Amino acid sequence: MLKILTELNAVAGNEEKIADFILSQVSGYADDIIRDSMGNLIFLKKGKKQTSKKIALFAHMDEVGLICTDITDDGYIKFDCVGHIDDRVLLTQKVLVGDDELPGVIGIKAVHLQEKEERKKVIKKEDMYIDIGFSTKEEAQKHVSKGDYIALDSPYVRLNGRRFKAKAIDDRVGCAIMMELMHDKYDCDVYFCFSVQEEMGMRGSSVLTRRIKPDVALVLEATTASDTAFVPEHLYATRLGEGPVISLMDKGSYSDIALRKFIVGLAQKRNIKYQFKLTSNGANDSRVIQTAGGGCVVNAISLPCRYIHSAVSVADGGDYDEMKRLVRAVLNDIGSFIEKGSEEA
Amino acid sequence: MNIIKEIKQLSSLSGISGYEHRISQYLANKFKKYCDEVYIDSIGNVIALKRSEVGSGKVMLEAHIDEIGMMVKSIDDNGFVLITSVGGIDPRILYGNVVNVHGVRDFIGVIGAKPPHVMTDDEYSDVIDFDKLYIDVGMSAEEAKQNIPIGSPVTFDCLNTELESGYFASKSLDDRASVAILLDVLETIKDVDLGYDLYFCACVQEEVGLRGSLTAAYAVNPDVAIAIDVTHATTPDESKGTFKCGCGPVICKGPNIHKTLCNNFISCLNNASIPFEIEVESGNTGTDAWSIQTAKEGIPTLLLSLPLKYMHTPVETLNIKDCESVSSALVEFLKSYKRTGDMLC
Repeated sequence: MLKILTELNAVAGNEEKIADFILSQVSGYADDIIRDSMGNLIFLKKGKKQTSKKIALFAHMDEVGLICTDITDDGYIKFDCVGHIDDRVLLTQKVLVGDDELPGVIGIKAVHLQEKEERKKVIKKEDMYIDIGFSTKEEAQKHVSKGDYIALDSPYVRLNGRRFKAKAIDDRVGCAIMMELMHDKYDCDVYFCFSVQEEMGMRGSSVLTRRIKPDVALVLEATTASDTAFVPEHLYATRLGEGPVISLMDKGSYSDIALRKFIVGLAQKRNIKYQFKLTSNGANDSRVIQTAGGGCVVNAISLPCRYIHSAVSVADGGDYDEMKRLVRAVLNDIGSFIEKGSEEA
Repeated sequence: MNIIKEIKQLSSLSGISGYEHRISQYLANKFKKYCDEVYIDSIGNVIALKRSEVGSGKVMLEAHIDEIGMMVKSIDDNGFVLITSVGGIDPRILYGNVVNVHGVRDFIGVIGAKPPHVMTDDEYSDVIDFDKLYIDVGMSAEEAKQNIPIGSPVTFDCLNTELESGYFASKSLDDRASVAILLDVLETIKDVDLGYDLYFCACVQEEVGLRGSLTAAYAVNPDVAIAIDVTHATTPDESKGTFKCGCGPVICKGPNIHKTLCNNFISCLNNASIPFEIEVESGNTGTDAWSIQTAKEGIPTLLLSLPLKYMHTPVETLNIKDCESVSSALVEFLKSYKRTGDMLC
């Protein structure tokens, strides 16, 4: 499932294909389905017990990518980034342009033709171009238009052991886990929310939250792992192979302390690996969910992921399994947390 | 022959300079089909002879089979693989690429660098050089040290991409495209007795100092040699001294090139109405033509080139029409070449 999901293209603002796919796969498990005007998908799964409390799970369908801003006279595509991508990961990448997914490459003149000074400079995305094989603007315009979305082209590949590389691990892991968890029934009503435009500033989830007004929300994400070469250990934000990441706080939100304690307690009880996110950098849908409408108890559970926002993100299948176990455990036991919460109130 | 199919096959093989054995073996089998004698010499060159029953004299066609790449320098304490370059590579293209590490067997890995959030501002705006890049193969230090000996060659992962209008992108088209042209020429003239012996030389170690061609030319000692290689094609970031893809064969002129032979080659193309371009190289052409020219007692040499965009990257791009016209040009010349020596004066 992760292979299929990561190889689908859904640059922020262009999530239709993946939304169609998710609908085709899991509609049968839902009691109610809403596809809103932005493109967000909501699946309601009614609980086994009658309760007024609403649980919502969030994962975003969109990924970072590019968009065509112009076509040059000699038929090359100029582009801008949709969502944050480091300019330095783009050169010589393969891409798929427009709805027809025309293959192209991001070129750069040969090393032989560069002056010594040139080689010391980072090439900015404004100076890059995509080569699809057209020789004139007219020829290119028959197939490509300004505003066409462009996805990075990077197949899912297994590396050693359970490691794998793919694009869009952020946040197809969240989508994949939600799709699997929709097969089961839970005590409470659960809203499975597949949001759009997280990479644009969590725009889809803000709309979603105002519609659903959940009491408790869990955000399923991918988060940066920095356990790599040339990084001192004390700067590791998260590590691959150490289990799902429970957020404490980040640039966008503070995790609800009671909810976090509940999740950590469950992980310990069930012997599920977990780790905390040891940096306050980055943000996710939690930011807007926490404050949308009347406010909401929220926590994020994430898959550690190296080289996030590049075509070659790397994650660990073992972490994925543990993350799924943890989220499943939370859904199964969330009733006790809610009851306790209301008693305390 | 279907040239593009052969180019795909050849570019998917891995062989950095000094590690070309897989390609030598593959080509020896290919040449055997239509050649009278084929052998692999002591440094890995494939030398194939198509004998004439009626005449004498020797013509040599040459292309190199090695590719640029990397080599494993060391493995760090966490299993990350540190690398250096073999042949000229712009380090700016490496971050975010997928590679094949040829250890005890082949392992797929991705090229990573420190994540942005732990980079200093200076690091963030700077070029990431070889000493700050590494390969992530998803292994622990122990696994990596067992499976990836120091000195293991590393190549770009091959993802052939057919673009529009006959364009094709892949790794190592420099110079496997020319090798495919050699095979195409052979297939075209397989039933023709040219009146002289024709040698096909697929040579090693061009990228590190034009070495294979030196020993091949010494062994063959031809009357005339033609090296086939790639030259820089025009791209949006470089128009000076480059050739538009689709222009046909690019014929080199200058001290590396035998003047009369070259003029005869040009008249031959004019007679056959094959369009071409002239490239002027006032000194070292940086190709095997340079080493062949002074092999043995001196060999009249030509250099025929194929325009190639983004040379020395994983997305080298050519137009298949150029491969076809280089092949036709060679066939025309070989058919008109006479042993009499009148071609040389």
